[in-house]
This record gives sequence, C-alpha cells and structure tokens, in this order.
Amino acid sequence: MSVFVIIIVFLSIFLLITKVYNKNMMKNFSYNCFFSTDEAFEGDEVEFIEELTNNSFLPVPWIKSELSTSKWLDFAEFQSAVSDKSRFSASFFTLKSYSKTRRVWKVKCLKRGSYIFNNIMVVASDLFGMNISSISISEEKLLQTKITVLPVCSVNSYDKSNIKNNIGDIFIKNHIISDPFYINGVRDYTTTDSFQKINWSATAKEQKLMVNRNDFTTNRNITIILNIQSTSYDVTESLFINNTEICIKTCASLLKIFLDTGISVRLLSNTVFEYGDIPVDIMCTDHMSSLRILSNLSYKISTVFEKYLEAIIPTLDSPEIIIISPYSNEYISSLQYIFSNIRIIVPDISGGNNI
Amino acid sequence: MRILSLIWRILLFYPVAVLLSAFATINETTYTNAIYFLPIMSLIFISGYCIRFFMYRFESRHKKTTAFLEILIGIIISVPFSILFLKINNTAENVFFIILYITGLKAYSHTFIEIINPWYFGASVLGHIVTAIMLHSETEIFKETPFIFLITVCLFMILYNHRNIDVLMQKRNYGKEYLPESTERLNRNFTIIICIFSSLLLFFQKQINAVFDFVWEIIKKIIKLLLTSTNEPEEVLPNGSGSAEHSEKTEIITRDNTLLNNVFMLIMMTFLLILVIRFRHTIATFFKNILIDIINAFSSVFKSKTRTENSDPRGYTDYVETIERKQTNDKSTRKELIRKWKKNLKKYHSMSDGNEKFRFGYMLITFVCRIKNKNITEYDTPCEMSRKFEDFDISEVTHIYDPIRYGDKKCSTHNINAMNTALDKLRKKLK
Repeated sequence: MSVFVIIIVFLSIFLLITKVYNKNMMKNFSYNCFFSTDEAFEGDEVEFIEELTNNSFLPVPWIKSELSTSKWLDFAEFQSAVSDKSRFSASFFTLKSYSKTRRVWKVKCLKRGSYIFNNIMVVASDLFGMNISSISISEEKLLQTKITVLPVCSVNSYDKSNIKNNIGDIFIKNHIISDPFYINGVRDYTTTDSFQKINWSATAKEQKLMVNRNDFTTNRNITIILNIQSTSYDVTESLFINNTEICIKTCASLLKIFLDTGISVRLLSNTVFEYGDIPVDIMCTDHMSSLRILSNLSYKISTVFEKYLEAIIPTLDSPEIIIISPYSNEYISSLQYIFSNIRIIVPDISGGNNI
Repeated sequence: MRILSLIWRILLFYPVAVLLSAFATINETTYTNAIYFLPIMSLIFISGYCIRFFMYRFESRHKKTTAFLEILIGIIISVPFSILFLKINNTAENVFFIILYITGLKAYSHTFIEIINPWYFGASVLGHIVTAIMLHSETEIFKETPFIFLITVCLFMILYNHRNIDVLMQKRNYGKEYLPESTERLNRNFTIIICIFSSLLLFFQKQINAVFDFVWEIIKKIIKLLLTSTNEPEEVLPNGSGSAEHSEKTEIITRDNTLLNNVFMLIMMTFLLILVIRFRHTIATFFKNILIDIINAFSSVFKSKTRTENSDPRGYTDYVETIERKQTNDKSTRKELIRKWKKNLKKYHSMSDGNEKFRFGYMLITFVCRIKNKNITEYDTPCEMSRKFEDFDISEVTHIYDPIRYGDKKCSTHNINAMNTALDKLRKKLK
C-alpha cells in the first residue's frame, strides 16, 4: 500500500511541476544576441554575446539556443558542427529565478565577407524534459548579429617604385581649362587674356605683351580589374576560393597603396555583390570604404573574364590599368603588349593560407 | 577530463572492494562484510556521481537534464520492484547501484548520442530486471558480488571505449562526419554481449550452477589441502567422537578463514595505498578545487546581488547576475499614478490663478500620457504632445499654453476656466 502511495505522490509532483512549467516557463523570459562590433578584419577575434533574462520566480533548468551561421565565423569549436557552408552550434543554459546570464563567445573571423546569424532557435524545457517551449528570434534581432569582415592587405609583388610615376597630374592634349601651374612657353597677348597671365620678362624681351601658355592636365586615376575566377575553367562560380581570396587581398593592398597617395581608383570585376546582382564598377575614394566593397564581393561569375576584358577595355580612358588575376593565359598576357597602360599582376597562390 | 576519468576509475573499485570482502569471508554462510560495505560504497558512489554530474554541468555539451529523468526512472523501477517482489534491501541497493551506474554511463556518453542508440536504455532496464532476478536467486554462485563484478567489467570496457572516442573526437573537433563507425559497432556488440550473458545466466542457471559448484568444490578442496599441508592444525583431544570431529573441522575452517581474510585485506590495502600514492597530486588538487567551489557556493548564497564569471576553455565566458525583482506589476503602477495625479489635481485647485497654475495644469495633462503609457520625450514640443492624445483633444489648451509659456502673455480667468474644463474631462476619462 505504501508503495502505491509513494508512486501516487511521485506522479502528482511530476504532474504539478509539468503543469506549472507549461504555463509559466516562458512568461518573463527574454533572449538577445549581438556582436561586440560591426566590423572586423580577417583573422580578428570578436565577441558574440548572448543575453538571457529570466524575470520570474520560476527557474528554467534547461535552455538550448541553436545558432546557425556561416562556417567562416569560427566559434564553439568543440560544440559546433560544420557542414558545407554553415556552422551549427548549440548553447546550453540554466537560469535561476530572477537572473541574467550573459555568454560571451570568442568568434574568430576566418574569411572576409558579410555575415549574419541565419537562424536562432531558443528551446526551453522543464526539469523532466516534458514541456518544451521554443522561441524563434525575430528578423530585427537577427540583423543585430550582422558583422562585416574586411579583407587584410597582403604583401604583394607590386613594385612600389611605380607609384612615383603615378603621383601627380598627367598632361593631355586638350581640355576645357588649362592648368595655371604648368607653363610650357609664351604667346602673344589677346584681349581675352587676363593681366595676371602676362609674362613681364618675355614682354620686355619681345617689346610687346606676352602671356604664359599653360598645359592641359587631368587627374591621375587608376583602374583595377579584378578577376574573380580561380581558373579559366570556372563558369558560374569560383571553384578554388583560396586563389580568389589571395587576389582580393592583393587588390586590397593595391587599393591601400593608391588611396593613401591620393590616387583615385576605379574598381571593376567580373562578379556581383552579395546583397544583389549589382555589377562591380565602383570609384574608390577612401581605403575603408574600398575594403567594405571588397568584403561584399561574391564568388559568382557574371561574365567569363576574357569576354569581360574584351568588352570593358575599349571603354576605359584611365592612364593605367591593373589586372589582378589568379591565373594568366595567352589572351591576358598579350594585353600588356597591345596596350601600353595595362599591367598584369598574378599573385603567388602557393604562398597563401589554405581556407 | 582527467579528474572525471579518475573519479570513474575510483568508483569502479567499488565492486572490486566488495568482491574482495566477499572472498575474505568465503567460508561464511552470511555475507556480513559485503552487506556492511554496500550501503557505504553506494553512498560514496552517489555523491561521486553527483559531483561528476555537477562538473559536467559546466561543460555545455553535457548539459542535459535527461540524466535526472533517468535517475528518477531508475529509482521508480528498482526500489518498488525490489521492495514488492524481492523484499531484500541489499538487492534493492544493488539494483539501484547498477541503474545508477548505467545512468552515469549514459550521461558520460551524452555527446555521442548517435553512438548509443535509444534502445540502449531499454536494454539496460531489461538488464536491471534480469540482474534483480539473478540476485534474488538462492544459488550461492549467483550471490551479488561476482555477478556485479562481471557486469562492471563489461561496463568498464564500454566506458573505457567511450573515453577513447571522446579523446579521438576532441582531436577531430567533434565533427559529426568523423564519427568512428567501428567503435560504434564495438559498443553495440558489448551491449548485446551483456544482454545475452544476463539471459543465459537466467535461463540456464541450474546447469551453470551445477558446473560452477563442481569447480568450486574442487577449488575449495585444493585450498583446504594446501592449507592443511602448510599449516599443521592443532592437536585435538584423543577421546574422539562425532561431535569432536565436527568441532575440529570448524576450527580448521575458522583458522583458514582468518588467514584468507588477512591475505585479502593485505592485498586490498596495498592496492589502495598504491592508488593513493600514484594519484596523490590529482586527488589533492581535486579536493582542493572542490573545497574552493563549496566555499564560493556558500559565499554566493549569502550575497544578495552576485556577479559570477565562469570561464570555459571551450571559447566562451559566462557572466551570471541576479536582477532586481519587479516591485509592482503594471496594474498597481497605474493605480498609483492615478492616485498621484488626483493628489496633484487637488494641489492645482488650491493654487491661486496665474501663469504658474496654468503651467501646472498643463503638466497634469502630460502626466496622463504616462498613465496611458504614451511616451512623452523631453524634446517633444507641446504640439507634438497634443498629437499623442488621440482619445482626447487638447489642442485648445495647447494653443493657450504656447504664448503663456514661451511669450509674455499673462494667463486670464478665461484661460484658467478652459484648463479646468480640460482637467475635469480628463479626470472623468481616467475613472
């Protein structure tokens, strides 16, 4: 008889706990997550913070948050499962009554890109695992988990002595206004000329009014054409992203060199941005914004590089064009013999870290 | 991980100790020493298990409360079963021990839930019942200790196997694609062996018993022969009778028993001593850490507001803090605010007419926003405030308020009357 009483007592306690938890477990529970920073460089370690608050008397013995993000954000190495492109990780908590737990993950940014936690599911259960309640995180909160990983600049083979040639203005045949800083001779005074332009020594010599003749100049700008294809056989997407990443790093370092010396750079590539099928044709003015642009490049190939070059090169009026490509073939190498202003950079792929 | 393995290994010596004690009393009909050992060792085991479990709690991959559920199921199955059918406390303890043991094993292998399949638990429960029936058997060979020992050895092998997998998987960064299939198969085979072994013992216990009894008798005779040849028994009285012979035999057995007891006790003590010396640093560190943890736990209990930091080598840090309890709920706050508003309204009516009174009246109107949960910010202009009153039009009062507050206009009696009317309407609405 006493055994039955024990069993009944056990069962009633069990049912009571189940019912109480079923009703009140998630009432005053909140979950929040965010990154400590919006931007980081490749290889940096940032903090991902999960905040759980239990604002009720009832303790929550078991909470699991399932996080799903890109595999290039390395965290929870012992608890995460990595699939083709995603990383799944489960995080477990126990919350006492009226308590707040703040879990700070150390996240290592492995590769440049713009990342977001695709899906976060929070599951809570009672002591016996009978009641399972879940919360799905709203898109607004998921947007808080966005982080842009900027590419780092690599040491490349670009000859820095070439920069000297790129500093300053370039002389051109004709322009609307002449450059008053460059004088290439004197000419006769006309009624339209300003008195400021009169060259008095030449006037004295010639015994008539002479004015300075100025050159026509324009700003120096460089065009960088980045090849997103890892090999000449890639059709829709870059197959060896390691090779592409090395090219992007080289591009980042070139951009840094040029932009620091005040040369504006036009960036062209046969790819599109990650956030939409927008072709890459950007005028870069400062280093950080150029890195942001590079971080958002996708691996999709919009046009095969050879065809892209055929179409784009005749339209370019830039005095110097730099082509960055992970490989070189006959067509690409022939370009620098046909056009004197084209320079081709093929980075050393073997030296890069494998991703 | 090392400490956990050490605890497990120490706990594994529980049946060994019981077995030794049982052997020490080999010729006694009652297993007094074994019975004496069991509750104490069970207690040690349970406390050890609890410590282990709480240690796992801080490793997130082991944070699953299903182990609690398993313990509960274990208790519900074993204790009433033993009390109802077996009526032997000792047996109940044994069954409880095995259930705890397998529960511990399950908890240990939580990371590899794919390796130990769900049917494993069912098989374990079946195994427990079989064990209980075995232990209930009156046959000498099936007395608790040897059986427990055999089961424990099998479990130890599985456990050891799991520890190896754990180490292996740790190296492989817990990638599910690297799950070792061969070890999984090995685990399954071990479980099957245990089940088959238990079943065989159950169904063929008489036959096995006969074989074992025969072997046992031979061993006993050999031991007796050896002991009698080495140690000459004391001479008994010459006038021998049946009863005298019997007393002589009893004396020899008792002396044999004492000798065996001493030998086994010596072995056991040496063994324990070696263990303690071998793991002295680990044991000392372990107890030191536990002591620190207990002190910290006690100190945190008496603190009203705590902030603890649990650093984990797995790449995250936990900050736990206690938050302030809500003093009042929304309804009581609203009531309180209305009461306060009415109190201020009385104050307003007692004020003498003038700009101050009008401004105080307007403040009371904005106060209603708080009651109705319409947030008014510090940078809201009177016009913006009036727009927030959707259910009540205060544009007229706002129109008067602007030149009084920001201009040099003096408040007239007509303006005060307009304010009074607006406040009266608000008061009625708040009811």
